[in-house]
Amino acid sequence: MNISPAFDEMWADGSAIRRPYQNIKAWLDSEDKASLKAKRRDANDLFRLTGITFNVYGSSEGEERLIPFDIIPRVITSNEWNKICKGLEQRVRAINAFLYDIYHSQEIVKAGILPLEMLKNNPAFLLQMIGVNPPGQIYTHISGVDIIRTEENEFYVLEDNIRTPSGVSYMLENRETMLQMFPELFTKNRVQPIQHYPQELLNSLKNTLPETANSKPTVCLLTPGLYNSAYFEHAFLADQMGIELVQGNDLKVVDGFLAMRTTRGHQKVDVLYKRLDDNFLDPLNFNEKSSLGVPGLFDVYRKGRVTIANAPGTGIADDKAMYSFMPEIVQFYSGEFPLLQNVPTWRCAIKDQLQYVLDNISELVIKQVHGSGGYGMLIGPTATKKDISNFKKKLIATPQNYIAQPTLSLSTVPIFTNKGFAPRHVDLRPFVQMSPKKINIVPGGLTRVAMSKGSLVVNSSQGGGTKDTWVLEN
Amino acid sequence: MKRLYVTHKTNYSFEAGPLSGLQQIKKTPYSDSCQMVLNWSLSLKGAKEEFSFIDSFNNNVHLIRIEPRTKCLVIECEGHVEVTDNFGIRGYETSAIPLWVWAERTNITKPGPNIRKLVKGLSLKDNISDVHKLMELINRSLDFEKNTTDVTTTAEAALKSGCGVCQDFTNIFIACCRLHGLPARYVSGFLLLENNQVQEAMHAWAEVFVEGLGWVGFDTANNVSPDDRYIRVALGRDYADAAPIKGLTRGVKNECLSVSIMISEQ
Repeated sequence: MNISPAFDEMWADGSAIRRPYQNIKAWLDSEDKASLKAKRRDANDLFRLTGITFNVYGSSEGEERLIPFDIIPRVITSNEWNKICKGLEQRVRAINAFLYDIYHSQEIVKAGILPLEMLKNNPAFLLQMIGVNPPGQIYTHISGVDIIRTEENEFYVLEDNIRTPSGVSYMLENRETMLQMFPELFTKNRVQPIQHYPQELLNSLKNTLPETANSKPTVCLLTPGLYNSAYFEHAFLADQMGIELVQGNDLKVVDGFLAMRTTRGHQKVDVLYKRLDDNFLDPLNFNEKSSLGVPGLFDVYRKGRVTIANAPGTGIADDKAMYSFMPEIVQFYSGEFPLLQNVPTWRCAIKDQLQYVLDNISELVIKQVHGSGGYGMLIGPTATKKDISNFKKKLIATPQNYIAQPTLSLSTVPIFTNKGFAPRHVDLRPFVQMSPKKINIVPGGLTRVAMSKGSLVVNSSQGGGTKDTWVLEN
Repeated sequence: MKRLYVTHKTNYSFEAGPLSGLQQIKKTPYSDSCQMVLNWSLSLKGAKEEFSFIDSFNNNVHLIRIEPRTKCLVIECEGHVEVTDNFGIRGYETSAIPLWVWAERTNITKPGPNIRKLVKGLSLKDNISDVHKLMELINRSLDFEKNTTDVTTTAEAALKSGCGVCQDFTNIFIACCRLHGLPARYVSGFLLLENNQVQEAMHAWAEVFVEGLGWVGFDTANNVSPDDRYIRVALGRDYADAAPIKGLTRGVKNECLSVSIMISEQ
């Protein structure tokens, strides 16, 4: 097997196989390539059958595409996982406290820790949320925190996805597929289960009710519809959670409450799991041109009569410039040092930092402050001269729109290619559920893998694939 | 001190009423250090109230749903308010909106070449007499003329055209203040006129935050500071935040709107 300079989770420094991967290695050695190929084909057929597809914006090949799935699981030990969990819990609690503070007295600004400039002219700062008290004081019902590994004991948070984190359906389907294709693996390895995620999410949302809810609350999932890149996931999750999948025109403010149209008339909705951008949520209060939202929804929310998950305005905590303040944010609200590290980040809005970025652009990754999905980013080491000179112009014209980070060597995990096993770079997106009662993290998360050799781009919208992620029992 | 009686009637008639319609109504004043609302009522015809709430700016808002297909919608307010003359000074208040928000530009108050030219050479520091000079300057630069602008007209466009109504005077004033970094806000409210004449629209003026005094009112259209003839109803960054009615209707044909406001001293 080919060893790349990055930390390989199977081989480490190349001298001996790492313990957590011993069973995987034994399995791969015992299978012949032809049968693995056949199994891989079967797995892809399964995905196609269940309809797991992903829409790629700006792709001319058609609207839906299958995300490549690799059959070799990624393995995390329970010790590693417990460490990650503690860090995630600390981080998500701090972010929730940060959001409450930002939309109330802004103590972190008064304390001189967060510069006011971070809020001024920030489109993610939702003025309408000022003074609003979300049910249970929860803003971040679901967070998808992207974690990368660079060494045996080095984990970094790369991004906090808090607006509308997606990808959990792939995590679930990957496990389902592995269970079907390779049931024997799960008898030989003690893998922590994840299939209860939808039920846990429903419980978590039901633990965060508005005061007006009764003992049988109604939860529904609001989707922008069929043309959204994550529509499959919306339909899948609603189905798994046993809740209604609704669009804006299925909902209406009726008798002072949010209600959904049913065949038996209107039914009050207590919790709205929204998978729609804030701006489109309510044409009366936000973008008046939106036909995807519900007029008056935000007023019902402000009145404390519905829970919206995640709360509107959470985007202020997950733009990439705010990310650079996360160590300070975690410390300010938890009173502890961050357990999970941040990747060093240069804010191009600051003159000296912009100069550094321009001088060292070929070694850096440049990202848009409000971007996601890997759109509009530059990876210095692999970019062409033309790309770099074009990007420099953008940086100089609108520096406030960009941040830069060192090109970190993401750890690698073997995938099964047509030519055999080969290491590919991966990240990990665990999903954190938060309610006033507890924080719940289903073991593992979504492992995204850059399918082409040497690539560091794991985003599904950029051709990245996924793997099943195992957290072993202790 | 004055005790004012207000009646405010908004009447919509439709050739074809809306299939659906929601409106946020900001017509209910609240009590503060300068005014006391003794009684106030809001009644509706052709619509029903969903609920009322207080928004981020502390405004009283009623959310109403228009009855489908109604030909006629009437929103009627009346009440008594006792107002103290405080020479326009509202002072400090514990609003949840941080001060810096009021110095941010909005679409309506974004400065253009005309606004920049107007304030060129004007020192506009944290100084009350400078702000008075600005008010006089704007008052002279614009003719009060109805039906030349509408609620979407920007401060820059109104100044360029040279005429407008109270909201244009106010938006220009706010734009100038913010250009100099002064926090300023838009106030919509009622104004007692001589002879108790019937008014067709609510009045608008501005408040500027001056260190040492707090919020101070400036009625640019009339070149005075608000006194006990002024009832404050709603405030915001510009007209859009404080609009008396903001609505979303579907399927309306030929809407006809009339407003009559009467204010008297009692």
